[in-house]
Amino acid sequence: MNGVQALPSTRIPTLNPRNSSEFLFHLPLGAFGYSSGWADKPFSLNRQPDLAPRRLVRLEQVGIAYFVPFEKGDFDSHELREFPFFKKRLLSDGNRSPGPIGLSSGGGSAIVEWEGRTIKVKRCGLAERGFVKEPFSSYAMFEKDGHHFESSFAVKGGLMELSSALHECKTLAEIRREDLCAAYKPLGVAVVTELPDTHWPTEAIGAVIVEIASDLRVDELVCMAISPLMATLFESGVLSYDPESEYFDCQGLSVEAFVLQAQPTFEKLQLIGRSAGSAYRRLHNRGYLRGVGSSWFGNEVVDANGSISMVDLDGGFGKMTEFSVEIAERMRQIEVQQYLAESYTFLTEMRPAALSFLGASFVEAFREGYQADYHGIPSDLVAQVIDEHLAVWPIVSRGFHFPNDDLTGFACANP
Amino acid sequence: MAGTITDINSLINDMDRLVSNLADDVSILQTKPNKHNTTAVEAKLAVARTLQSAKSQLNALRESEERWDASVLEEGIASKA
Repeated sequence: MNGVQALPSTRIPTLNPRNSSEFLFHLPLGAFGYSSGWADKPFSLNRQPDLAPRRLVRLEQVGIAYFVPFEKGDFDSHELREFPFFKKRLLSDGNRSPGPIGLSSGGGSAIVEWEGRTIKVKRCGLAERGFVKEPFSSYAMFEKDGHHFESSFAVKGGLMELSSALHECKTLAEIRREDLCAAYKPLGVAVVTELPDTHWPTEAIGAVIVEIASDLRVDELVCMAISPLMATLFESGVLSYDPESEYFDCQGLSVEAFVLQAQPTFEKLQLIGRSAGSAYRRLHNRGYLRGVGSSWFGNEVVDANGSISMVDLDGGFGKMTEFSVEIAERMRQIEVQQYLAESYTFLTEMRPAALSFLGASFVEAFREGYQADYHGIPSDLVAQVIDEHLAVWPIVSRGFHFPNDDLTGFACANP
Repeated sequence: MAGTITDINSLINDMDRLVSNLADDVSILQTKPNKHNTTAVEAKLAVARTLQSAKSQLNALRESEERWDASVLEEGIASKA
């Protein structure tokens, strides 16, 4: 299987964007968050995503797939094209077999170039581990004769069931028509027909193929907004971060001084949080449920204009009308609570109280925004946040002990 | 598996339609046997098999719901009667 070598390496004009002009929304190198990549420790399905930067990855073909395009509201199987199904590997894993370069999109997906477009392939391996079989289950809900049923199923780490891929592709097209997802354009589904040397060589596996205008997540924008403050704290020595335990150690952090210095950060977080809340409310007002499994700030994408797109629809996305009024309302309630709780936890866990003020500020603003009409994040704020973050990114990256992927030995990148 | 597939019938209809289209394509291609068409037939059959497998997985989950429905839901309804 040599098809993956036909893929071009992703064009990366610069590995170290210095400002918002150099920052690429569809290849957000320099971003970090909880939906970005993974740290240098075993990535597991059984715990929360890592606070990590975007990772450069090498693509290694592991199977055969056929691309089934989704056009004009339907899947079209007449013109099948072979799609080299690959898994992502770390550049630094010692394996030097040839393969094009891409960028991580969360722990399970990658951004690559294909036929002149920048696409996201969901999914193509779990972090550095490929396709893993862990004792990890999740829930699926089905409707039958007006009743809804939940069943557990074993998660195939790093892969997506074909039925899920078809469902997500179709639903993305629907919400894109509703102007709820400008950043992702569904192109189709790769139907995997051969996947040897995995735990699931005969299962029905698929991957969603979307063309992306942006993959910058709201959680990454929030982390960028906090970045200048973190740089100051890391440099002063008052704060340090242990990537093993994910604990923020602080020595003599003045709470009053922190709050004074954090005023500009609070203001930015409030604007981002209100927009995120209003985006979620717009989705509910249009009659959709986000899905509890996707209710957090890592499944929303921001573009350069500040528009927020809802992406990753495999966590329970559906229509409220498919439920009774009471159950739809209960589902809506748990989604909002889940968003608040999960986002708050990500922004406050193992942090001193002063740092947790930032997380509280974001979720409180989300709560306010949820009561308001939709409004995107001001585009000048997006640019400002990126500029201020990239100015201190080397300091922040060192402070978090983030791994550094360099392209040494990979002549195929940076053409 | 998606967290929620409430429109499971719609999804199964999509799969059935795709498989049917693939079968039509295979029939046409087999009337003009050559190397290119033979490769195309193999690809279409492989995709059709994968779609059938996905459909079986969905149906298996639906059958498990029916067991739950019969044994638990009816008891619940009866207890309220």
